[in-house]
Amino acid sequence: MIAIKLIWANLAARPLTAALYVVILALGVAAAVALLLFSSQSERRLERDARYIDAVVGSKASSPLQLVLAGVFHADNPPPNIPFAAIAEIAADPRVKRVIPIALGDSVRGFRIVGAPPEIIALYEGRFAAGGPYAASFEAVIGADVARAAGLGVGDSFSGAHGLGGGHEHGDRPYVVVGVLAQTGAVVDRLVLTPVESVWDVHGVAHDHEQTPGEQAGGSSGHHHGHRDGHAQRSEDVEAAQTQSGGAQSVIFGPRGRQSAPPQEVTLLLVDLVSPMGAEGLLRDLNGASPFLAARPAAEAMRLYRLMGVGGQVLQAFAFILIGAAAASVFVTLFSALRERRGEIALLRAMGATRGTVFSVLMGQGVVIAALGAALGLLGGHGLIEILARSSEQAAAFGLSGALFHPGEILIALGSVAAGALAALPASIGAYRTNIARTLSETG
Amino acid sequence: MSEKPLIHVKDLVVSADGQTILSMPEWRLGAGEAALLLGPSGSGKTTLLHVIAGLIRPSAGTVTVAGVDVHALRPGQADRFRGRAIGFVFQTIRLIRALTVEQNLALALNLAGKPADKSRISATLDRLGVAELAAAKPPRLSVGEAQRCAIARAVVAQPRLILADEPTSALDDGNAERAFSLLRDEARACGAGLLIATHDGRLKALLANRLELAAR
Ligand SMILES: Nc1ncnc2c1ncn2[C@@H]1O[C@H](COP(=O)(O)OP(=O)(O)O)[C@@H](O)[C@H]1O
Ligand SMILES: [Mg+2]
Repeated sequence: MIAIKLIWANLAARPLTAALYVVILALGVAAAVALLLFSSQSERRLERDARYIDAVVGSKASSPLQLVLAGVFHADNPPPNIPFAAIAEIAADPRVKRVIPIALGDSVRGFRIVGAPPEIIALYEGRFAAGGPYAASFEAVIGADVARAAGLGVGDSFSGAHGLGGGHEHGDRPYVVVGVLAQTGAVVDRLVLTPVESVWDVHGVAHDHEQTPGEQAGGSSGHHHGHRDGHAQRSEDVEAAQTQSGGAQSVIFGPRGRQSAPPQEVTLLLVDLVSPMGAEGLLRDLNGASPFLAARPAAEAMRLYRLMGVGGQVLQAFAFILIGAAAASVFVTLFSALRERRGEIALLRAMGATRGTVFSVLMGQGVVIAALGAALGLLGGHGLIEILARSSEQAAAFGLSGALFHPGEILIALGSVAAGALAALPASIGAYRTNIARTLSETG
Repeated sequence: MSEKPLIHVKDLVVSADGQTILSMPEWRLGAGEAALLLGPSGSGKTTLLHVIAGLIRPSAGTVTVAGVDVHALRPGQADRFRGRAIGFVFQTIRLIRALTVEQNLALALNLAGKPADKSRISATLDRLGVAELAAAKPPRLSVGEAQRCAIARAVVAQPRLILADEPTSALDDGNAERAFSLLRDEARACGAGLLIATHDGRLKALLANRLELAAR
């Protein structure tokens, strides 16, 4: 009790100094905690999102990282499109189990609209919180985050905008929500899923459309390719591919029961393999001779993670330097003040304070500064991640949340408090050992 | 001298670095009595006060304060006994600077194992004429004010014994005399014994009971 009063009094006697140390330490702890949260949350998210898909195939004019970022994490601009024929070509490979084409390019309220066959819902292990899968153009199934952020439910309609936010709205034809997915913690939470045909219709790509034949309305993006000939040829390709593989493969390129609507172009293909062992060989083959580029999400995620890791290490070093600087300041302040405070320490002892009390008064100052800094830093670290998660769509794609706790934070907090205690230790030992009689005779 | 002395020094020898710096066959101070501890600089006055307070361990002999053999106590006990039974006044170290005058007195009460009774604190400050300084921090006080507050701090817990080491040496004539009378009055008011160590000639005439240490 006496020690606590004296600790507060001593800190309050130099409030700015104490506050400065608290702030320096809090900055260091906040940086360390934010890094920990960012790396653990993004790693988990990357790993999880990468797990669903064995390989991504897209345009050679792209890069493996972009393919994966755009097609798996939905965190980059879409690569150039590839012709529909790619589906059959890839599906024909005996190592391939399933091909899901996706068409990208539009968004609603910053959430990506993904044109894909409804099988993509199963791929993402999505469960319906309400409604069910889409069956027709301009029906949409939305992820849990989309539903919450955009306030959309089954039966609501919305218009897509070109590009990934900020683009002009395609006001001509609204989508209708037919299903809302339950929260998965994966990327599908942030996606709007719709038949591939919806995306083409929006962009005026001509394809066999029974309801609106030859529709080319509102084409703003110039995705008009008019591959109206050769549909039969492609359909045969697909069938051939299915036959070749002895029925083990399924090729999906549009909503069920719409075989007569051969699509024109897709952005990329999500590929499931018969065995993950085949991935290396398939990638080598595709990236060698074919007009396509293939990438493995798992490998790209690891590369991305390593890339972030380098920056993270620099920041982490900086965080620990800040914590160390705060501890060093506490050490210098307490230790250099010890000489001038010897008289007061002796007075305290003469007044009846024990060695233990004067020891804990000095230790307490270091520990209180460190504990305040650590507490403030924990709050700051979580706040930082939350701000990041809210402010940037890329960050949101990493599944960041300031509300999640990581056990490593306890270590950071305890480490900071230990640093504060260690910094106060020399001065505290000095106070403990003070020869009162001599100090009083010298300074009396 | 009364039957049960407040301080009883017997066969005391204090040495440092193999040299005897103080020896005293026998000396007593009765309960509630006041005495001057005189002697030139280096004669061992401060040393004797510290031995009585249990801050220095003698190489031989015993010292009892209020019947307690102060050097037989364990360290923590000795500290608590000092806090409860003894009030110290020094020449220059007077108060804890981070605390207000009032908080200094509260601390003295707590260290004596007593509650920080506000009315007691203000009554003490009042008696010493420094009631208006209750909320002041020590660095803002004049030397005379600080010494009055330090006396208030030493007496607020009503100790059995007040030990003052050169309490007036840093004060001018007026303040020195006032500080001395305050000490004597306060000791009398709480029935405490008073031992003032000083080489300040101005005090010699003021107290008949004197213990003179010889120069070494
Ligand atoms: N720790 C110590 N080690 C050695 N000598 C000491 C120590 N403390 C005091 N002395 C010596 O003991 C003598 C008495 O000192 P002190 O009690 O301070 O005298 P006074 O208070 O009368 O001026 C001095 O000669 C001083 O140098
Ligand atoms: Mg002296």
